[in-house]
Amino acid sequence: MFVRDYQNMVFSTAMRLLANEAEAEDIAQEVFLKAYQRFAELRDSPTAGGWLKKVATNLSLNHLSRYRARWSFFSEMRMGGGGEEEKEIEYAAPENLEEDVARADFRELVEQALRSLPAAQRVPLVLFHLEGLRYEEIAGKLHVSLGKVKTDIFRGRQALRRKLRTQLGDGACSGFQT
Amino acid sequence: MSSEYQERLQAEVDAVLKGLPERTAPPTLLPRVMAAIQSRAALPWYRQSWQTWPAVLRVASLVMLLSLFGGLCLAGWKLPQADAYASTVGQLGQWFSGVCALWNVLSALFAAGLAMAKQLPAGFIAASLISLGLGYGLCIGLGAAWMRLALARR
Repeated sequence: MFVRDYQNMVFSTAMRLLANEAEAEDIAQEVFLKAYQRFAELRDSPTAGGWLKKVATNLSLNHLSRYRARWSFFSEMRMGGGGEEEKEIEYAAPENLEEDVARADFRELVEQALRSLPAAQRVPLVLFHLEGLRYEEIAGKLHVSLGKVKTDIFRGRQALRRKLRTQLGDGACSGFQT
Repeated sequence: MSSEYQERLQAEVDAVLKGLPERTAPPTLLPRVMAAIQSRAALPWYRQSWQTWPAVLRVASLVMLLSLFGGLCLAGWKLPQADAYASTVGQLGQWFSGVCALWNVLSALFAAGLAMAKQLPAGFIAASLISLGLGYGLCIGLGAAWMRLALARR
């Protein structure tokens, strides 16, 4: 079935951009409703996955620019004035991780660390590494300068590495060896 | 920061993020999508989006809209040449004479207000503006604090 085949991909795309499960589910539903309108051409198309991913990305970015900006003032207050940067993520006990972090646990930690990044860093980071967009394309999509995109992505990478290293310890994380 | 460090960091983050598997969609997503599709399909054709209308109706609506647009263009071109046009415009002018009178009254009131404001001391005007700004800021602050409380209870 079409929805069943693509639901994980669409939900993952929205979830990694929005970092909010309820909003990601709303966006995923909207994506499939749009697909339903073009189902005749998408049903047997080999590019259906790419189309769905693109629509999910665009709808997520629209959602972020339309709703998040409106509430950012209040949400920043809610975070205690520190913004999303200060949000701490919950981890398992360190002693369990010191030996050998199971791959699934590590992936979940990466997902958590990604979610905990501020949107200004997370969104361009996801667009670059997971959606395969170039710096110029990201700047165009987010309506920001090329310099800001590069800076935000660099800071996002550093923050992601810092968060994982803090939790896993130097050298414990196979993907972050120096 | 050296470019070597930046390249290494990019490669490391790329490897970690690309290694992430797809997240499992919540089990509620599929029933939600199916319910939304069914409710949309149950709507009559004229309440659905234009792309989903039957082809005949789409063509008919397009022809009707184009005819309407053409008719309006033709009317805009031919109407000023008609004999009845000048008298109709004159009659419309009479109907709107009341609006002109209202505009004159409002202009006079505005001029009187401006003359009165010029008599007020500058300090009073500055104090009024500052009070207005403070009041506005207070409203935003109270609204934000209320939102914070409301969201914190969720």
